[in-house]
Amino acid sequence: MKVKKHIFYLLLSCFILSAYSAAGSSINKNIFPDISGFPKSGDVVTYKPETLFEFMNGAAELYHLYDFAEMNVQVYDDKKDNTVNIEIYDHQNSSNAFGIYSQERPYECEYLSIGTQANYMEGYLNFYQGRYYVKLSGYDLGDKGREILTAAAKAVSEKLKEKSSPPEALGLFPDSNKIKNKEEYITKDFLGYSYFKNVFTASYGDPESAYKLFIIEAPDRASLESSINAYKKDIGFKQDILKDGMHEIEDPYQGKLIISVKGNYIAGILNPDNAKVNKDLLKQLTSNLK
Amino acid sequence: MKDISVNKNRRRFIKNSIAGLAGASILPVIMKGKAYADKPAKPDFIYRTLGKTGLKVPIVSMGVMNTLNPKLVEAAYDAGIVHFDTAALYGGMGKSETMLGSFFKDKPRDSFIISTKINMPGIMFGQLNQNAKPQDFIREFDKSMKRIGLDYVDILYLHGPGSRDKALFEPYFEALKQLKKEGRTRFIGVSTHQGQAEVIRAAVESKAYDVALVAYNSTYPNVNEIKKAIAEGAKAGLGIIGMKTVAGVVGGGFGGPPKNATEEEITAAIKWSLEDENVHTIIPGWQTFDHMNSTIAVMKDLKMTVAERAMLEKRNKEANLFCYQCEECTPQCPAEHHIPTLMRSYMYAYGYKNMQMARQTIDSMELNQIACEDCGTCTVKCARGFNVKEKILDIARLRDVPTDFLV
Repeated sequence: MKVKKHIFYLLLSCFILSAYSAAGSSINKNIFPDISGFPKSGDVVTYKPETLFEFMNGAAELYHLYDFAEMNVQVYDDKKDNTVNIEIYDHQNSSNAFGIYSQERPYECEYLSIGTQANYMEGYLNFYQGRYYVKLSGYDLGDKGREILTAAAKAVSEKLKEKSSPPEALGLFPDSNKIKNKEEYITKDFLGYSYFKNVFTASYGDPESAYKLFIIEAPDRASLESSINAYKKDIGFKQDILKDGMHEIEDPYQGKLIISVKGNYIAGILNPDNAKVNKDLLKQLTSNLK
Repeated sequence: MKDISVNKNRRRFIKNSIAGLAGASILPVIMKGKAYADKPAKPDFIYRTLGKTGLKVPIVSMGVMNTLNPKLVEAAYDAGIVHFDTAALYGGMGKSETMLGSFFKDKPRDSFIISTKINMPGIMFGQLNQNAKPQDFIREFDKSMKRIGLDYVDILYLHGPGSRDKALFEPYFEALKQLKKEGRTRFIGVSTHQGQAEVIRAAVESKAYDVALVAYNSTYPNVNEIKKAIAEGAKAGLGIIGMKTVAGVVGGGFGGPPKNATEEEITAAIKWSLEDENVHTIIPGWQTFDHMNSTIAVMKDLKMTVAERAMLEKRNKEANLFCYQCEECTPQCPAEHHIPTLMRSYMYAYGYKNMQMARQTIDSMELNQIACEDCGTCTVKCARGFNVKEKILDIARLRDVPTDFLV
């Protein structure tokens, strides 16, 4: 009996160790490609949650919101003061990688088919793939910047052994009237309230006066009810939001919202503009939830 | 068409949330002899003058690095916050700048102060580019201004130098002065997270910098040196703005990765930074309305309680044990000691009270001699400001203890 117990604990330890190792460093240092005309300058430098701040200062705060685990950066230098940086960030799962990508996606940019999605703007190319968020930047590259960064990004993407599909939750949003490439994933403090976590959003309508559909996923029904109750208390709302149907809310900070609750999900519209169209969309979104 | 009823409702909500802070007042806030338009002073706010800029600002400002939610900015603006701090880096590709610019585009220009920061290669980390030109900086600034969409900013910073050489690096320093001369920024500044004391003194020496934005909290091992430099800077007319004021309790910045902190600890950390009157304002980066309200409410009573001081003292002790293993010190030691390993040994001994582990760690280095004993002035500059030599000499004593005595 004692032997069995020892074996059990041994196996458990092995499991924990392997899990720890999987969650730890996952970026292969050999993943950085050669770039013609730009020899590698120095070694790959690794940043952990404790040290990311040294690399990007206050901007690191945003990365921590998306479970940042590790970043490896390689600098390339053509010895004429032109440099290329490739940074590979491990955010532990694909929702987080998409989330940080979505937060940093420029308002106006060119989209490229690299990884799950890539964007390019004036010497910066970012893409996400699986748990990784990859950023490439070229300093003073001029017109060749796009070509150099695109080739390097493709080379990195090929070496990343990760699937290139977007988070499943994005497929729940109805297509009708949706603005392309405006989806986001927000891990916490959605709408400025600490209890609204793990939220996917998509924008609809006219880009100048867009409204947002959102899905909040709670870990269980009790957590969902607790969030709803905290929200009602904060905004002084008396009606029962948990019952079936759509509930129109006047939020003192955000303005008008319509929300509906299903299982562990809250679906909603922020800044609705056309009650009928908006409610149809919300109805469709709610019906897509399990 | 703005929904006035919603706006009124929100204003009422903010007023109720920040009990005692809101309220009608006709006292204007003086900004270089001019009132902030449509911005009556809040009677319960505390205002300080930002050094030689002459800007009179509430001691709480808003750092816009953690949110892209314009409603939070709107709530802060409505509550009486005047100064909003962003950077080209925040939000990735300047989205924070875009959001702020969009919010302020139809507000009276003298009702707010907006600051931004330009990050240039070699400034925060790495080597300075000796072929850099002022135009490089101006080009990046132009991109920021395009995003912000205003004619000028109020404070423009060189983002993140950690030494005198970097703070005064001529091409960028010249660009800053030129932009001020052209009126594209009213004031120029330097922001610093490492080597704060050295950078503040460089800003004073420059006679051109108007503002220093300084990472400042009680958990920094070299906090007394920073405090002293802040006093010197303020005396010389620098406007001093505190940042990372709660990083010691909530993590982030050199406070390490995020950690759980109570509301009381956060309040204590904010009070600690503001009880230093040489700190003219701080820029906490709140993400929720609750945090905004509780931070603003600190202005009601800045006095720290005994319990708050005790809470911070505990955090300070924890922070002083913890080396982040960033390896920045490694190439600096003339004796080539691997300092992060020695610091780990120190942490095992004093943090975890595990003397065996501490001894094993130090033994694993197979050092014949700890060179610090005979080395003169230590030239190693720890990123966290540890007195490396003192800690090494302290932990080195463990080598003289027979292992049988280590339990």
